[in-house]
Amino acid sequence: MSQSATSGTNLTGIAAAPQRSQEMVRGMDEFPPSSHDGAHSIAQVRIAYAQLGEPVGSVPQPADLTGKVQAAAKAVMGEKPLLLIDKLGERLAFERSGTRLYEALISKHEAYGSFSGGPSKQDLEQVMEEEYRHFTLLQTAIEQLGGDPTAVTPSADLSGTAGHGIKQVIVDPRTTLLQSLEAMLIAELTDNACWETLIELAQRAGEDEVVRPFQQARMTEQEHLDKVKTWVAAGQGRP
Amino acid sequence: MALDLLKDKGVPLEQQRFTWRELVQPPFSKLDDDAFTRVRVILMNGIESEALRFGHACARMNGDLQRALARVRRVEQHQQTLVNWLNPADQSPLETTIGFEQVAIEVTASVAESEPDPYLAQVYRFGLLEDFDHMYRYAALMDRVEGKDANTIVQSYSDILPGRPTSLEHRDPIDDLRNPYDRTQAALLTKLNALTIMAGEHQTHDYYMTVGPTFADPIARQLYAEIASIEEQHVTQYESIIDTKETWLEKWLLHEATEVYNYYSCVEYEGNPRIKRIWERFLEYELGHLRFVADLFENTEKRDAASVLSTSVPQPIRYESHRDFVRQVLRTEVNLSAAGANFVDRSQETQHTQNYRNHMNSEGSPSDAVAASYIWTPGTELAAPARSRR
Repeated sequence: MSQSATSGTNLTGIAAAPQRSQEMVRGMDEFPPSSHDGAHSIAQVRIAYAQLGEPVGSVPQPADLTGKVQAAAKAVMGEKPLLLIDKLGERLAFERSGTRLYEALISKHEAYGSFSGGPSKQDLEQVMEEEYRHFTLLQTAIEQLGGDPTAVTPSADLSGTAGHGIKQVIVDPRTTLLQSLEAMLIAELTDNACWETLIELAQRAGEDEVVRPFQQARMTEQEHLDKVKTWVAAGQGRP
Repeated sequence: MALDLLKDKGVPLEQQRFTWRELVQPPFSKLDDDAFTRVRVILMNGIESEALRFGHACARMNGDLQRALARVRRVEQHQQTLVNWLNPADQSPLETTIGFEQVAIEVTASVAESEPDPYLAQVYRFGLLEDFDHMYRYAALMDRVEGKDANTIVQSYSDILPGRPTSLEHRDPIDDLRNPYDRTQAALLTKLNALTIMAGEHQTHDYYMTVGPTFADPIARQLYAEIASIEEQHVTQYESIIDTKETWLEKWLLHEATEVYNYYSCVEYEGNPRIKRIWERFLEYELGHLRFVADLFENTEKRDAASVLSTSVPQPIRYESHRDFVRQVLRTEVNLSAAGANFVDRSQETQHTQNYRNHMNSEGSPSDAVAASYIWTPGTELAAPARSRR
């Protein structure tokens, strides 16, 4: 099976049915809209609901803030005490889901095989292991700050919602390895940007114990991004 | 709060009105609200869905009731909308599914404990262990495909453990039929219990049939197909325990009483004040429906509504963890199956059931595959010290 899309009987465009499409367009003249004001009406509804002020949820209070841990947590969290926990929870959820996504990519590799310049099974297994190690690193970091690594923070929740489409592409048996890697590229780009955020938050607090392993993780994620970009380019025939 | 089913008049039907803005209220919080708020929302959506399902079936068989049914049904549909729209958009279909199974575990356990008829209590315990297993299978799916922990939804109220294995729940249709209660002898609570669980299971089936194809992963699509089939078995079981000799109006009256009873139970347990006000409003609406149907019943059938209803409402459904009860049932009844309307040891299953199951599972079992060696761990199995996925 080709890794790229192939030519076929796609029926979605108006060119696939020119006469029916023209009939539809002519109908607009005879049957105008029954309400007016354009898309502005939609904005009004959105604003009205947003102003009700119901949040997605909250960051759980660290359960075990005592002694040195408490001091470290305060220092790391700085003026926004919950932001770091929220973002740590987000990365943890992302890396955990990322591990599962690479598992699915390995299945895809086994089903379709790779392509010239594409990843080997070992390449994908290595990235999966590194995603898993990042997950455990974040687990430890949250525990050290007195947080609960099993809790879903608001940012973790929203990143799950945002990443839903990526997962849907990768686990769909109809998509090829290349198509799945293109979806994974979105995840890796986001992952890199978010590790930068985490490091900056930790650096502001001067907490080297947290910063150093995070910087290492960030470097590894940069390697993942470079690899996925290279694989995608090779699959698309771009040198 | 004391209710009198025969005297409390609630809000008159003609005063029950909504705006679109009222129907679409801010949802509960998946992260911050108690799991039982979600359980109540999911069950009450099922209760209202049954109100519509029954109302339409009744209208198709009773031309003289169509006007009355249409009026009540319009309000019920709007109630269902308001309730169902309390589910938040960040609650994925799989997370909502976990919520459905928590309903099936905790509400069925409460019903099984309260049910005065020993045979019917056995029916509920039988179904309970099967839904209990569905929770485990879906939790494995969530963990292994999405990297998410189902306990973030159940909030440690319900166990995530294997029950009667889903792959063994498939039975010949005839072995899903049970003996009905006797309408002239059964307690009101028996009738309310049966309608409540039937409604919940029917909505569960319909939900799985709706969301199943939205999953991309073939193991998810298979698992929803398999468990939806069991939910169809459960609907078959639970509707068969209801006496078919009840008249249409008697059934309608009991449906309205079930809705009153359920909203009353929600009011008694709800901790979110905003959601509690919705339950209180709808309890008043349902009392209005009950009064409306009771008048219709008395005028049409020339018998007292008190011949069907009692004045007092039974003890509410207990929205709390039933861990000890469920584990005890699991220890003692996991090996049960059914032969006709009787519960038997698995070794005594009918040949029809064995043949049916063997064929359905002959090309593999989705529920066995998804949860192979699965042990729930806080934070997903990837968080386990020894990585069990390896």
